Amino acid sequence: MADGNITKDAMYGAVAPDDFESMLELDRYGQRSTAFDKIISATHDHFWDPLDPKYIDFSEPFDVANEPLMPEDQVPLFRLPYVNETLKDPAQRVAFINHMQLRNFSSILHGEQGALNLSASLCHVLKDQGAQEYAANQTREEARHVTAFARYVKARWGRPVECGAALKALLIEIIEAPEVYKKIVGMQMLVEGLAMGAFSHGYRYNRDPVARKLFQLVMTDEAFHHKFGKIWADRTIPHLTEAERNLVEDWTAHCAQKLFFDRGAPNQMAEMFTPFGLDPERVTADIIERRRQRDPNRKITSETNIFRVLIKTLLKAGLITQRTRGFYAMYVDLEELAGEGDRMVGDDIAEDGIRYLQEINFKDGARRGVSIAAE
Amino acid sequence: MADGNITKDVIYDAVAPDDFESMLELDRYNARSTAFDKIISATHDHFWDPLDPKYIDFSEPFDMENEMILPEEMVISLQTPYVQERLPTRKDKVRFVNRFALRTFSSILHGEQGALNLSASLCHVLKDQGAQEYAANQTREEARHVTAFAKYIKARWGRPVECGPTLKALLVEIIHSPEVYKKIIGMQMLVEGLAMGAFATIYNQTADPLARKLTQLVMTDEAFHHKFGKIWADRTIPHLTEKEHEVIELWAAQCFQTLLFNLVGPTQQRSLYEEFGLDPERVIEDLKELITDDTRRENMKEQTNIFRVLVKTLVNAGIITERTRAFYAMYVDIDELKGEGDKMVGDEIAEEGIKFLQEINFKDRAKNVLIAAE
Repeated sequence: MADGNITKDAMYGAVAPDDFESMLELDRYGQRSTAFDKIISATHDHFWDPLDPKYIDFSEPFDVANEPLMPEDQVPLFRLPYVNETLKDPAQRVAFINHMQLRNFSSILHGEQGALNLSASLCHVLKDQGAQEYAANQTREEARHVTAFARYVKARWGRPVECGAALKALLIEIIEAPEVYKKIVGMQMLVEGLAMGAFSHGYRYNRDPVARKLFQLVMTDEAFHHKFGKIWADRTIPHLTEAERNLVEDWTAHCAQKLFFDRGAPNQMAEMFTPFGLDPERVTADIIERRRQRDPNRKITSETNIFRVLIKTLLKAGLITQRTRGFYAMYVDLEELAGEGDRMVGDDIAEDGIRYLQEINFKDGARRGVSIAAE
Repeated sequence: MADGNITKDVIYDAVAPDDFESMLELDRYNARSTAFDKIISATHDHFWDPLDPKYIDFSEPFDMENEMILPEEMVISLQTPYVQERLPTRKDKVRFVNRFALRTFSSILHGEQGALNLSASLCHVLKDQGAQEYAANQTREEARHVTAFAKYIKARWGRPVECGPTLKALLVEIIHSPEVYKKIIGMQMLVEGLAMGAFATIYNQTADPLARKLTQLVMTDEAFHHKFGKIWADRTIPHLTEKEHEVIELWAAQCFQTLLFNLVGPTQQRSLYEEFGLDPERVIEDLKELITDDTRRENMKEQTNIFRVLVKTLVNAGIITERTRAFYAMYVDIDELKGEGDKMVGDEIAEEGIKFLQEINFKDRAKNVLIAAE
């Protein structure tokens, strides 16, 4: 087993990425865990194909030049007086909103590409054959997400924009890391959790029916990926030594910092302001000032808020203790989150999506129940 | 691009295995090739699940004590006078043949595990997003093959036997190799080609209906994997320089020799002979007399002979030239192979299998089936 994986359940046992020989151990095949069998078998139910217009038709038009993809009240930058007053022209406001969406969709696209490579890298390290089959399945699903988001970006804007430096650095870090816990916490719990939040938000507010359909279809897969991380946490966290728990918790906070704050930091957005006649430094200063003036006790309460969804995942998984509680408590009311159920915000959307896919995949045939439950 | 990949078509462009940053290049997404789209979309048609008895039921019994999984003729060592003499009863022979079959199925299982890791490694190096999606799809299919063969072995014998050192060394080499041509020739063309031949042979000759169903289901996937290698060859071989062709041709011959030795090298079955209290040296000596180049060539004339399928793949791909022709000609009539069509020996079995899967997957909606991938 590779050093430092911090696995407490055989099904997450791992080997070094270049240790193929361990995969040929004879008892490995017979010891296959059944923990992921339901997720693996469910893949046929929620199959979809971004290359087939029967599932999603990327040729459906949307007037990106004149219609905002998101309502203005979902663009927090318009709450800054400087931005609101500078961008007076309605056409300019639409262009600004839609450019932000291009950046958003590009981040998702690059994140999906990272998820593809990460899942493929899990195939090399996860020793349990059931876990490995699960990872192979996820690899395949991430690949169709890359295809789908690439097609959407192409249809609406022609070309994506660069991956932000903070996200890129995190993706490289977790893909190259040999330690399983870094991969699972970083990708399955945080990036996938962030994605579920972003997709839920997009599904609810995006005005483009193709974007909404896309979010829903992707969520039919992602809901299961996120479960994989949850199962890992359930079977690992309670058995950690204090030193191990600290290590995992610190890694979690490190990833959260990168994803929440470095990625969303004003300096990461600076280059998008200039083309709209906005002074990046002024916008940055206004954002900081606004945050300073905000009631320090004000917390994120919107159920689909991306960060709230993410922090809830970590809290439920036991990855937040007193050591890092203060860090997260700046943004959400942890007591309130602890009192909420286990159900993820996107689960309802994903289940509706699976029903839609069953209609297409098994016309006249299946009328089975739908459940994201994986265990 | 990683050095030495020898790719001549943009769809097989590759990067180093640790170069994730290249995957984020902006124009890469839109430059996606459509060459593999049909194969990718077809996956839903031939979906199957070894965990679901609706597709295949591993609890179906087989009388291992009295019935041979494979025909006696396939076990050449059983034809030597020494082994015949030492295993006089029908039950002895059944046990010997079935332990031989365990080795065959274990090799397949380990090969499928290699294919899973190899396909995952292709995801890290193939830069074209369509090719990468294809590789991701293959990874998923190989994983179900590992599950399926592991379940079959568990049902019939309880546990597999060790992977032979020759096959293991080849698998390790192609999985860790950063060069795309080594991966594609080694796995997609040769190991997958060998698998198609082996599955076709088992499908046609096994007495176990479960093994027959299993090999057919796996072939519904493998036929497409083999096509990926064929598309690579079609788009690469005609554009090679003399030097590059030599590198590829010699690599193919090296892989072929390794696989041939692994499967039929008399020393590879040493553990089987020992298990039955036979003197391995004596069996190997007897086998040398029995297996001459003439008998080997004669055996290969049989259409599903595993290595004949393999040589045909290499001939049709244009990989074999005068440089290595004599090596292969020891085993097959190359001119005869050239005169045959492109259709692979297992394609018909796979197409029948896909019809069976469509019946299950899309009751009342069975469509026409075609393995053609381009």
